[in-house]
Amino acid sequence: MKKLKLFAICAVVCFACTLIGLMYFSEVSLFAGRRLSGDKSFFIHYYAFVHYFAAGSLVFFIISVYNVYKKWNAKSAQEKKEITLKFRSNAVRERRIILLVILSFFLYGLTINLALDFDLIPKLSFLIIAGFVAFYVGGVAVFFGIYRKNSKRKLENAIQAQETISLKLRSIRSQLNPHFMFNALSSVQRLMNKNDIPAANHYLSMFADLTRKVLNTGEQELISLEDELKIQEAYLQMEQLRFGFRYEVKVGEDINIANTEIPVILLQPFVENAVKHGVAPLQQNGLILVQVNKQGDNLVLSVTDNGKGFDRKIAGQKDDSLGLKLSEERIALLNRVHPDQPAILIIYSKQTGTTITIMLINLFS
Amino acid sequence: MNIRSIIIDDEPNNIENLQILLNQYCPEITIVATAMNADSAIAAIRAHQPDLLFLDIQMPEKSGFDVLKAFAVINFEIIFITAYDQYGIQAIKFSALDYLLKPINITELITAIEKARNKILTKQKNSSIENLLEYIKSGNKEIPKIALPTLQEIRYVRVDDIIHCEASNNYTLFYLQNGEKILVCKTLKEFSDLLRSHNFIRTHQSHLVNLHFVNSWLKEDGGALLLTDSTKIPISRQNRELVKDALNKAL
Repeated sequence: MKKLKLFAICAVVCFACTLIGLMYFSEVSLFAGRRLSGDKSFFIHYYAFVHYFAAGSLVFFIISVYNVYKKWNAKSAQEKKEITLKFRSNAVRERRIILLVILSFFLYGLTINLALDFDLIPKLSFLIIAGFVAFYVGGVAVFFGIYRKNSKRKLENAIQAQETISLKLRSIRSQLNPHFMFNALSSVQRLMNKNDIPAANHYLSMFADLTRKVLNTGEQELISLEDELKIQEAYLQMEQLRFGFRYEVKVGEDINIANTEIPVILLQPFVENAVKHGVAPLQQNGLILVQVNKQGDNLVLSVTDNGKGFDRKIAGQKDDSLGLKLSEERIALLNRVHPDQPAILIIYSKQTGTTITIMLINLFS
Repeated sequence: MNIRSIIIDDEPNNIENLQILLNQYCPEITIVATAMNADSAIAAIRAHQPDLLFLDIQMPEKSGFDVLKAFAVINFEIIFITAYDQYGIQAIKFSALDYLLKPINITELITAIEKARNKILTKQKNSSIENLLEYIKSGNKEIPKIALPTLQEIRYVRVDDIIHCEASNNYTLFYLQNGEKILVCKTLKEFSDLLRSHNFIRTHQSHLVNLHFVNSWLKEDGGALLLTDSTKIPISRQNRELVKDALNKAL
């Protein structure tokens, strides 16, 4: 909103400048026609033309300096990254600006010299020069404003697309976490060595199934609730083999899980945290509850464990809280892309357990 | 020979799996105790004085390395076990210690136990563990020492004392800053992987160079590096761009 206001002011100022400039322009032509003959009038236009370059360049120059200043002043790393990206896309243009500045200073000097030679300076009133400058600055500013807004929008889209991809890749990588994979295979090895062949077969094919499903989600944005729950159940079963906890998945009867689509890999990080930080130390006494319910138009997903809970401040400093951070970033991104169907994340942790709730607002509307 | 061993792993399944494998393939191993966390592991080691430890690196709260830190003198052998831990494995390799990856490869298990048995029999002092603990303590900040197993001994050499390494069949010849040469019974490939993060570059199939000691790039016969000790190291054609990039980055 603030940006729009700024742009509007800019446009009005530019328009005014252009108007004033046009007025003066007509006066100059008249003036030039009346007072100056032949080649000398050419130099007035030449002189003004140089002013155009000088003024235009100055605007570009100030903007690039402003960009650098903004980057230098940026608080968060995210902000810095965005400005850098913006800056980079402008790199070509900035090189052109520098060239323009040098060129116009050169031309400016040349013109002054020529004008002095022809004794023109005293004859040009200050107002005429100012008029030219105002006109061209105005024109350039309007053009630049439009261009800038356009490129900014393109850039925002590009940044968003890039973020979506990188976050998804990171989530997939966390889902095919090497710790999980090798430990799962290790569990299967134990079944083999115990001569429990049916169980070994069962878990090995489940592992293959899980891997396959996760690899396939790489290409899609949405997944049916049915498939997501299957993935989570396979994951929980593999981990159950390692740690021996119990788990339960409860889905509200009024939900058609095959036809309800949710963003991919939304639930996974929380289920993984519930296993890793929640129930793993409890072994057989661990309990995980995954619930899916419909509340009006909203879909409510929740993961509850009976582990010893965590303190966000302490957990935030560790590397292994990455899953949580990733999820928060991802939800923030989803909310930016689909502001009409926002997701809300609620974390409730105490010493006897943790509940994480994701509300998908207006999913059924 | 009877090797008295302790298995330390936070997952009972892994302990069970290893026990089954040891029973079946390594009858000389006797499991005197098992432990599922660092503290009970330390207590068990004090109580049983084992010959050999099967030690899982990753455990919640305290790691396998923390178990070792509790002992001033380590008079037992260790076979590390991990599912996936790049930093831990790097540390272990730097000290030329043995480790197994999950799921356990039976051939590797047998080889590791064979090696451990020889060490227990000859009662070698376990200075590799000290090197390992130092490596972990310094946490990548200090310049680590690398263990170089020769035919007679294991040498511990500061990484920045190595000028370059040269392959000769399955051995590697290390040239040190003091002019000394050490012949190590491991391939250049292994060291190339280990030392990559310490500013070493493979210029050639049989040459590994510490970039700190590069004096100049000679243009003769398709490129060579002149080192500060005035040896010339050839650069193979396929590595030329890689070496150039590395040198530019090191500037």
